[in-house]
Amino acid sequence: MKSYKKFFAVLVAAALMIVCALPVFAESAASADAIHNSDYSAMRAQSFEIMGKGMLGIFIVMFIILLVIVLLNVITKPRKK
Amino acid sequence: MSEFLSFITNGVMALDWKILVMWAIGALLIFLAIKKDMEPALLLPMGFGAILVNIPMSGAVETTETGVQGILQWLFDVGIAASEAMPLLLFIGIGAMIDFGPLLSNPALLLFGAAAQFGIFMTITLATIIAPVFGFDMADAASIGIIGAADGPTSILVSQVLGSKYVGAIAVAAYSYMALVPIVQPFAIKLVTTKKERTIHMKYSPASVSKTTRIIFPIAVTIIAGLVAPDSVALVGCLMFGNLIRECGNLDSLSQTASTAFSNIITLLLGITIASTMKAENFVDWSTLAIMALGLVAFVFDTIAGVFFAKVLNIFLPKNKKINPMVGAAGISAFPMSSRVIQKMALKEDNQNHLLMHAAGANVAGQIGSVVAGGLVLSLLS
Repeated sequence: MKSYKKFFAVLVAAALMIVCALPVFAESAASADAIHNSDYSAMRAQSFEIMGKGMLGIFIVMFIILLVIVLLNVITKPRKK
Repeated sequence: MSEFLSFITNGVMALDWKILVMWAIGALLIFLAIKKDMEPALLLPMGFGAILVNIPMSGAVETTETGVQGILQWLFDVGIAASEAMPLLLFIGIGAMIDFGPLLSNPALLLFGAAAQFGIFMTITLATIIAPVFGFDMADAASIGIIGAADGPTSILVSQVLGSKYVGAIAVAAYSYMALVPIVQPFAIKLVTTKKERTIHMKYSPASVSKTTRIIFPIAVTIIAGLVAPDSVALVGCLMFGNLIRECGNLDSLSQTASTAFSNIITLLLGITIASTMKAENFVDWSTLAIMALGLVAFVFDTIAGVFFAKVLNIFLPKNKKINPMVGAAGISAFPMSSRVIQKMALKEDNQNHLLMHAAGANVAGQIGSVVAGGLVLSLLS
């Protein structure tokens, strides 16, 4: 089991290295198209912004729903006679 | 003679290798649906539709000289392109099928439904990293990321609204990986948990949930989600409308219809309609393979994020109230398959450890989380 996990850890690390290296090859191939390169940089920056705002937004919504459910359960709980 | 017979040979002469590849893909989807029982309700219509639209000069998609539109193209224009009707109507049926009781009796499980959406955003970022190679724009990256919502209608709706070129590939990826949850999730869970963690017992002491709560819940969720992410109102609203029909108690026949016949009709039409986007010239491309790979990444990171969130919570919980990290993995939207997978894994590790109700609560929370995530992505990119 340990070697199985190590193997996949190496595989994932290699895949991540290849993925991070791809933009270098792409940008060198399209070096004349400066506007396109800057668009991709802006996209990467925007994706991190979407990640932060998106996860924060989901947690805020779910937390508010959680509070509403707790409140509803308290209000509608049958009272002991 | 050859000119005389050209009306017979025109179709054959128009074949190319990409069309043959699409026929093979269609056949594969049909095989997976029938032989392997993988999401047959969607994969079989999509597989057959892929063959239909990739017959040269197909009457199912082409417009005739007299202006009669192909049926699949008409279904797509009316049922999806115009107002996303089909995915939204399907959500009514899905809402009518879901019992939010396990979640309402333990609302803390909502947080797992939030955590397990991380794979969406992780995949959006990865898609932007490889965008220069495949020519993805931001709409494509976001649409690919939404595969991680583990929800077919949400994936189709978001990718169509954002105007992505890859709706067909995204739909195939979403439904395929939903069917592969029993394979993908155990692999991802075992990668990041120990046997000791997987054998953590959780007591199930459900609090009783009143009918009033069950009725107010869908209304409240719609308002809350809609105020934060207005673009999610259609998605959340349809889901919660279906649930309200189920919970109100005096619309049994409507609830029954919504969850059975109505859902079946929409499912039948949605699958074959989505296939109209699977034309060879768009689908047979390296980008399709990239989308399939990124879809897998999305599902894996959804699972891992849910597990890690449970582990983080365990740091602060007393010893006798620890959460089994596998319950966090159930926070994806693949309902009810994910909860059954977690139950099976728990029993395999310890045959006295029943996690089904906890996992079911997290799973339905994931359904809410995924539609909220879809709405937020639309809002952030609009």
